[in-house]
Amino acid sequence: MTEPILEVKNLTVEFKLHNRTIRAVDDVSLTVNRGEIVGIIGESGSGKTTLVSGILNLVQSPGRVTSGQVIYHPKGGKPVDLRTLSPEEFSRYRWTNLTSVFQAAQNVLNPTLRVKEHFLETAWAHDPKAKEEDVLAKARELLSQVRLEERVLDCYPHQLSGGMKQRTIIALSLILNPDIIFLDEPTTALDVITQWYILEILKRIQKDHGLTMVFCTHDVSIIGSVVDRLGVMYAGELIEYGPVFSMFQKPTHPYTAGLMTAIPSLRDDVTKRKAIPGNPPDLANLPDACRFAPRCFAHAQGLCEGDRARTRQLYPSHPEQYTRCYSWEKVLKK
Amino acid sequence: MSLIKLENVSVYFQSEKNPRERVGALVGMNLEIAPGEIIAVVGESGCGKTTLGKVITDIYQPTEGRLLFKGKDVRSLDKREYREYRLAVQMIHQDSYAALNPNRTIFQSLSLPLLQHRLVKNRQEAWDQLVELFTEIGLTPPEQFLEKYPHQLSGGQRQRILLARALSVRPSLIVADEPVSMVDVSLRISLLDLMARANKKYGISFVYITHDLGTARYIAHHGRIAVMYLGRMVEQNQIQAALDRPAHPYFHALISAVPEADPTLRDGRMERLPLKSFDMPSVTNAPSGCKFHPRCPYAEAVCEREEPGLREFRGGLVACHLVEKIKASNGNRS
Repeated sequence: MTEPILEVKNLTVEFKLHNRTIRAVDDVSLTVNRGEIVGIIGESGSGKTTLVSGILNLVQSPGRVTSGQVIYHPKGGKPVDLRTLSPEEFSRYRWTNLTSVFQAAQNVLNPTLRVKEHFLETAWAHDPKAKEEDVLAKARELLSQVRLEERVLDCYPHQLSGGMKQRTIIALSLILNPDIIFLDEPTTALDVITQWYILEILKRIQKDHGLTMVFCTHDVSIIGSVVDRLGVMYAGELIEYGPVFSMFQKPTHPYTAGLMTAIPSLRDDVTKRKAIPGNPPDLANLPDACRFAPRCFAHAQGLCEGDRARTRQLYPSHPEQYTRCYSWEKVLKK
Repeated sequence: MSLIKLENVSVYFQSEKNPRERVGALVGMNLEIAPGEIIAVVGESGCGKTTLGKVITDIYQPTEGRLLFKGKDVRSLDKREYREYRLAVQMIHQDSYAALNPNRTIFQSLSLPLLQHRLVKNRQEAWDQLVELFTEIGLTPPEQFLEKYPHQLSGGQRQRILLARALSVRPSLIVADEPVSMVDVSLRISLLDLMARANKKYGISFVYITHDLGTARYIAHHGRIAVMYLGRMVEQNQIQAALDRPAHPYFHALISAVPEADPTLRDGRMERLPLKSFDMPSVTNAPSGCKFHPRCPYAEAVCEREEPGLREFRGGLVACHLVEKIKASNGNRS
């Protein structure tokens, strides 16, 4: 099961603003294995969405992918570096192999088209000869998997509730049998009960179709109940990556540890919750030190000098777990 | 004597299409708020929780029923008493950017109520008082924040400023409507802590309106919780008791849907939610009888006919015909 499906190597995305350059994604490398659910968490502005846009070649001007490789391994085929493809070649992979469900998905549907036309347009864009009945039959099957009735096909988007639209889009993203699906905040702005339902559907689809999922969110609590592997982003960098159980029990980056204790839940001891001091960094004005140093307790206590040069790589901490904190052993003792 | 009391308050909005059709955003609400108390109001979108907040602050006037401030109907207050009420009840909004005038510095915005209500003699005194307040809630150095414009601050900082604005007029009650839902996760707890501290130190009551049960439990763990559904209060109890033993079937489903961050607890997650349907009925076309009956797995004929009123059950209040029966058949597991 540990066959890679996607390898991201040293991906950097920069935005040129006035005379400054902002690195929204800074030298991120990670490997996603086939059939896994990978979660990526981070606060707003940490670069989650930009990372996904970078992988899918969707970065918009003034942003630009300045370096890196995105290697995709098709089933039984030769690996391809998606970064070297022309836009036309890339569009053959998009939606047939790699697909995405973005945040505020409610606005993705065209208000003047019926749901069924969305399915047909997408299918015809990739195969103009596809038969209408075949596409609709497949659409009906997918809609029933996300527990929507057939009549939804004849509805306009405004006739659907937020949760129904989100389910429609999940069904739509699966119409061409992709291998890997990127979900960016798929349940934000939905009610708790709808959220529960969508997560349930996603987990089942992942099992039935053997899909690989990459799940971006700021909400740590939904990650815990869904993903296998977890990546944490901070100020454009991937600061820790590893299996979800070990990340929760033995986080080896002070930011990950802080995040895990910052979320109030329904069961734990209220008095043990603690906020991370300080504010999220301003990407245009980063310290010339470890990105997390201004908020880090180890740095504040003088345990770690926060040397920028030494945070340019990831260090193995536990089996399959990597951290950007070079003082992680000292941090862990605390 | 209670600080604020809602007596049988209903708010109806007229439908635009059909002026004879009325939409009950809030129906038959009774609530008492004692000095120094924290009440969490939870529910999904469209349940009327924001309308409740706006009735308490007299932004919406009740169509039926009365709002009492220190035992007196707000409508019968004379000019001086009404001013006292307006000062005593403050509100914190969800969107901190929309709640501050973008053309004014923070000092200009925050000094206005102080000068208007003659809480200070002049601008210098206002400045000194705000400096003191900002230092207390961790906006340091205060001079820097006072001279800034809203767009120069981060969401978390703006939300602190809104809290400072509410505190500056020394209120007895603050209505906080989703104050942290737009704030980064790592900063949420620090804001909740500030509110809890204001509650302890100055005895300010809080009405904390949210859809997030985790933060509700965090801030109000000694206080009460009121659960709303389609404009009605369906359950009220001490928060921990309510979470441990939810009485109303809706609240039970809501608690079960809350995701658990810790992956080791994911197996304890419910396989199925105790609900018949996942979609919330629309407020404009509310069902007859108990508003929850189309989704309730326990519903019987009586639930379709009669709307249940709030009554006492195990130390709390609940609006359900069948609560004893449900609890008995579940063997008190939940």
